[in-house]
Order: sequence, then structure tokens, then C-alpha cells
Amino acid sequence: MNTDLKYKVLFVKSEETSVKFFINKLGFKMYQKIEINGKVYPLLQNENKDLMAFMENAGKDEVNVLNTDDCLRDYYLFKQRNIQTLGKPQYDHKGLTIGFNDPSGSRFMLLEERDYTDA
Amino acid sequence: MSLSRIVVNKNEIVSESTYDAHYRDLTGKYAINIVSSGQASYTIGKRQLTLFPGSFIFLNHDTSYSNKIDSAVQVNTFSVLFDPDFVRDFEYSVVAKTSTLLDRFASDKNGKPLFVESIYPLQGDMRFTLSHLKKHIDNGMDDQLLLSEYLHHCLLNYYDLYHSEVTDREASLKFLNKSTKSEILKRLSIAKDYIISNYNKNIHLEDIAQMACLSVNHLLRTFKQAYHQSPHQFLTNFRLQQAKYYLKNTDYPINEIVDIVGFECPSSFIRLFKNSFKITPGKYR
Repeated sequence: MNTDLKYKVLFVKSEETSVKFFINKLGFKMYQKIEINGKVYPLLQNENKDLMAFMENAGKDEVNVLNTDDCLRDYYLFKQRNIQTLGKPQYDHKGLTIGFNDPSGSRFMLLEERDYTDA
Repeated sequence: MSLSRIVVNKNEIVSESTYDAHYRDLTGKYAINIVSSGQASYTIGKRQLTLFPGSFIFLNHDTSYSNKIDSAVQVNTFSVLFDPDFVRDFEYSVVAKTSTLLDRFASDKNGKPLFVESIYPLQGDMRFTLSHLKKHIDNGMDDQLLLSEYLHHCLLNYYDLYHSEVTDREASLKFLNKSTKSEILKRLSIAKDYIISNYNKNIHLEDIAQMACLSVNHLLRTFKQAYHQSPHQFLTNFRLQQAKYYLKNTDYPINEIVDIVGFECPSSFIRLFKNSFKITPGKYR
């Protein structure tokens, strides 16, 4: 997975469930735990060394966007890891996307952004 | 020189880097061919086509053709060869569900679709899917399921592109009869392919019209209806696109690029480039 963002905060329903899901299903690794205002937040890292922090935000049902450089490859990988809520790849004006939820119901969209203007 | 060939469910994916190659009597599979550098020549019956970066050529499964590369620079080619049954199954499972395209395609006696064989612009999602697939093949990927996923999307993207490049253009021709529209678009595709294949030469309207079996007036009128530009504008735009490729991928001086892509003088090239892309060739580079 590749992303232009090197650091991203994901708002999830259950921090513990999402962190487990990202480590066990999406292949992220625990990078470190950081303490902010007395609370400890986990920081995960993917293969591209990008960092993800998780914050609980139970009130809002927002979609967290993750970026990739090859959506079909990741779709195949996620299918193999048996992510039950994985949707089919969809084309839109921004590029290719797939949607999925973690077990706590937090929603994620994997986006391969495509520049269609430069042929 | 290198050659990678992998078979996926009777489909084939071939990536080759070479200076010199000649393949004769190729047939039996639907073919999508691209070159990512250099150029390749195709002979299909009496048609001589040349493929450059930024385009792909599509050929039907029942067409016999040859492919020749004879180049001073290394030519990178990439071909996806679809088994006819794979394409037919794709049609039944995907296209028939989502649209009425199936009714509009011509087909052979076994119900396999016959497409307009032509040089198409390598753009939109097709460009990305083929680029990812090529990268995986060049890196030695041989996972059948993953490659099948790409092949499936390659067809999805091709059908989308075919819709805008053929079905929509056919519809914009001002004829009442559907078969007349199809026949005229086929001839216009031959005209367009002739322009693309000879874009860097001094070509004449009469030659293009003769290739397409149309009168000059008929060609001018119908070409504009289908492609929303004159053959001359199409030629100029194709030359500018090729110039973009050379600016981005080579360190040739601009004067040399002007010559390679068939413009007569650098000043008119710079003016046209700036008018089209709102940037000078130097800044674009």
C-alpha cells in the first residue's frame, strides 16, 4: 500500500477493534504508542512506512479514506485475508475505490487516486 | 532483450523488450497490444499500422496479423491476449447484466463478439490497469487469481472505452440507417489509423480518403461528425501528444522533437503546444 500522506488520523468506533483489524487483516504493524493529555494512542505503520493514529469518535459515522497505488492488488490481498465486508472495486471520477468496515462498524474506503488528465 | 510470457486461464500476457522481432500469422485470441517505448509495425491484411506509445491496438480473435519490430532504440511491448471463451463468458456475466451493449455488437457464427479493429487512445482506467499489470508481469508475478482480476478489469475498461470511442461516435454520425453508421465508422477508423500510423510523415488528405474508400468531401464531413475535429486537427493533436511523450521520456532537444513528430518549424510547434496545453514545451519538460 502506498500513500502520499505520511501521517493520518482515523476516527473509529472502537479503537481496540480497529487496531486489531488493521494489524491482523490489513498487515499494519504497531509503530509506537503515544501519550496525549494522559491518554495513550496507538500509532500503526504500513509497508510504506506511513503512520496511522486511531481516535475514538463513536458519535459520527464517517468514512476514513486510505490511499493506495494499486487498488486491485490490495483488493485481492484483502479478499485473501477474508475481510467479510469487502465491497467490489468501484470506478469513480477520482479513481478506483473499495469499501469495507472493521468489526466495530467503522467505515473505510481504499482509494487509488488516478490523474485522468495527463495521457 | 527480455521476454516474459504467462498463461492465465488460456489467456496470455506477454511483455517483451527488444530491438528486432518478427511474429507472423498471429491469430486465435483477442489482442490488446501497446508499446511503452519505441514503435511496432502491424500488418493486418492490406493495412499497415504503426503503434506508438500512448495508444493501443485491438484485434479480433479471427484476424490473422503479423507484428514487426526493427529499431535502433529498445522497444518495450506489452500484449494481453484474451481467449475467445473468456471474452464470451465476460459478456454473459458482466456486460449483459449491466447494459444492452451485447445487442449492439456484431458477433461471429459462434456468438463471439467482433469489435472494430483499430488503434485506440490509451487513456482513462485502461491506462492504469495495463500499467499495473505490466509492472506485475515484469516483476515476475504469477498468481493466477490476481492476474485474472486484472484481466477482468482490463476487459471492463476496454468495454467502457469502446463505448465512447465507437458506440458514441457511431451514434453521432448523421445517417438514419444503423448499418450505414457502422460502415462509415469502420472506414473513418481506417482513416484515423492511417493518420496515426503516418503522423510524422507528410500525408495528404487524398491519401487518407483513398485508404478509407471515401471521397475527400465525405471524409471531411463524416470525420468531423464522429471525432468533432477535422482530420488535420486530429493529426496536429496527435503530433502534440507524441511531442509530450518525447518531452517527458527523452532528453532530445526540442528542435529534434519538432522534427521527429513531423512539425515544420519550432515556432509554430511552440505556439500550438502552448495553445493546446497552456504551458510551453520547455516548462512542460
